[in-house]
Parts: sequence; C-alpha cells; structure tokens
Amino acid sequence: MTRLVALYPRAWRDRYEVEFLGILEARQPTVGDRLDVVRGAVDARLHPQVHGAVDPRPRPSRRTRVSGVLAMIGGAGFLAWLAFVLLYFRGWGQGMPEHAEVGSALAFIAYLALMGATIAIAVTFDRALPARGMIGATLGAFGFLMAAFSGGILILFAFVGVVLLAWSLSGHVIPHWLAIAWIGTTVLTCSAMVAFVAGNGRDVALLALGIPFGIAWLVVGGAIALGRPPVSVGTVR
Amino acid sequence: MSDGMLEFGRFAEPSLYILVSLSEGPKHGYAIMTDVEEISGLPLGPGTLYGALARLERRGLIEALEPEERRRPYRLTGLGETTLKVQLDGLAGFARAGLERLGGTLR
Repeated sequence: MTRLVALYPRAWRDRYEVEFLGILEARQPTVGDRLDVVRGAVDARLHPQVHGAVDPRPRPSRRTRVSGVLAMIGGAGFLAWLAFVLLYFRGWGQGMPEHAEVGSALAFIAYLALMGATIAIAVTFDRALPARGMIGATLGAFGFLMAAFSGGILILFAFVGVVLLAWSLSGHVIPHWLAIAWIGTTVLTCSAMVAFVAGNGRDVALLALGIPFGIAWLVVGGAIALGRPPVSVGTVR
Repeated sequence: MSDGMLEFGRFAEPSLYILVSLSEGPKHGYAIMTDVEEISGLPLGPGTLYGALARLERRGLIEALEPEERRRPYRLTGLGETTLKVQLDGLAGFARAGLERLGGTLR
C-alpha cells in the first residue's frame, strides 16, 4: 500500500506523505482504499493543489512539438527504409531489388523528414543553441537533402551535423545520456555506411547497424515533443 | 451547494463533510476520516480525504497545525467557518423548499 504513495507528485509527497502513510497504516486497507489512493494520485497529478507541484518550465510550444514529431517521422522512415534494404537489396551489381520504387520513396521520405527535423530543431532552439549547434544543423540539413535526392556519400555531412547538433542540445533540450546515445548511434551508422561503400556494396547486413540510429531519432523526437525544454541555456536547471 | 465549492468537483461533498467535522474542533486526518464516515454513513477513502484536504487548505478554508508525531491536526479558518455557514444555509433552504413541496404533494 505504501508503494502506491510513490504515484503522487513529489511536491505533494513532501507536504502530505508522512501523515498520509500514518493513515494508511492505521487501518487495514481495503481494495476500495487502494483504488481510492490510485485515483487520488491521478487527481494530484492532473490537478496539483500543492505549491511546487507544477513544473515551472513552459510546456513545449507547437513549433517544438512539430520539430519533435518530424524527428520521429524521420526516425520511423529511416527504420522502414532500412527494413526494406535488408529484406530486398542484395548488393550493388545484383540487379534492382523487388519494389525498388518503394525503397526509393521510403528513403526520400525518411531523409526529407530528417532534414525537416534538423531545420525545425535549429529554428525552435535558435537562441539556446551555441554556434556548433547551428553549424551542425546546417550540415545536417544539407547532408540529408543530398541523401534524399541523390543518395550519395554526401550523407556523411549529415552525420557530422547530427553529432554537432546532439552535442549542442545535450543537457538542456535532451538529457546527456540521450545525446551520448544519439552521437554513438550516429557514429556507428556512419561507420557502417563507410564500410559498406568500401566493400563495394556487397555486405548489406552491415547496414543493420543503422537500426539504433533510427531508434535514436524516434526517442530524441519523443523527448523534444513531450519534454519541457528551457527557453535558453541560461535557464537550465 | 453554492458556487464556492462547485470547483471542487467530486471533492465538493467530502469537503463539506470535512468542514462539518472540523467545526467542532481541530482533528487529524484519521479522526476526520472516521468522523466523516459516521456523519455520512459512507466510507471515505484516504485518497479522497487528502484530495479534499489539499483543496480546502489551498483555498484557506482550513489550516494545518503543528504535527504531533506523524499526525497533523487541521482546523477551520474564519473563511472556512463562513463558507461552511453559507453552504449549510443553502442546503437548509433547499431542504425546507423540498419538504414544503413534498408536503403539498402528500396532502
């Protein structure tokens, strides 16, 4: 029963937890009591009554949410494209895969969404980003645009850009651990693509190393869309 | 129930019972809970009790006193007393009107 108290917001617990636990221990709780505690916790979260229970940071703006959703679309599109490649592509010189047009469309959508997300993130957090963030966003947008239209090696610019962008967002827009994971998956994907090209496009399985990259974009997009980022670096808590 | 407590939503009725309970003197949470159950004849869950207490305290209708070990007593404030009186007067008027009409029908 006492574990249910953890469902309440921290500010509420700071104020009422001790006496509340006293009541819970004073009588044998019924199933109804347990449900009532859960219902009370939901209410305390939806309608905070205790000062400090409300997160003082602003809710994400529409622009922030859009940039987060674009990042998620980009990540999902990238994963869909990877799945297509891993299923149907047999390597360079092995002829066109089945449903090649589907693969092209997936790649086009994924890279354009990633480009849009990169630009949207930069625009949304322009005042919070240091110079490396803006440089990263520019490189990222350029690289993804090139990848969308030509699919060439210029995507390497995008990887460099993403690393710079993740570094600049780390600790305020997204948590450090997520930025590190994002950078790690970017480096991994970049290495896999370079190895794939160096191997004359024979080892398609190498591209599976890009899966965490797509997942990272999904998570980063979710964190941006659902989180409460500060309006500037100076307000970081 | 007057507009003053309508914003309490599902906590409006328990809040009124709590105010009535505290009108005879300060009580801590468990004592309020058992007293309200006695007055209303219905069980009052701990989540509902503290949802109502938090609302009443935030609006200045009750105030917390110094804790006694793990128990913290609450008492009615002046505003709480006035609010309770208004609520009870409203209910009394409502009950009177209802009974008069019922009496008219029965005659």
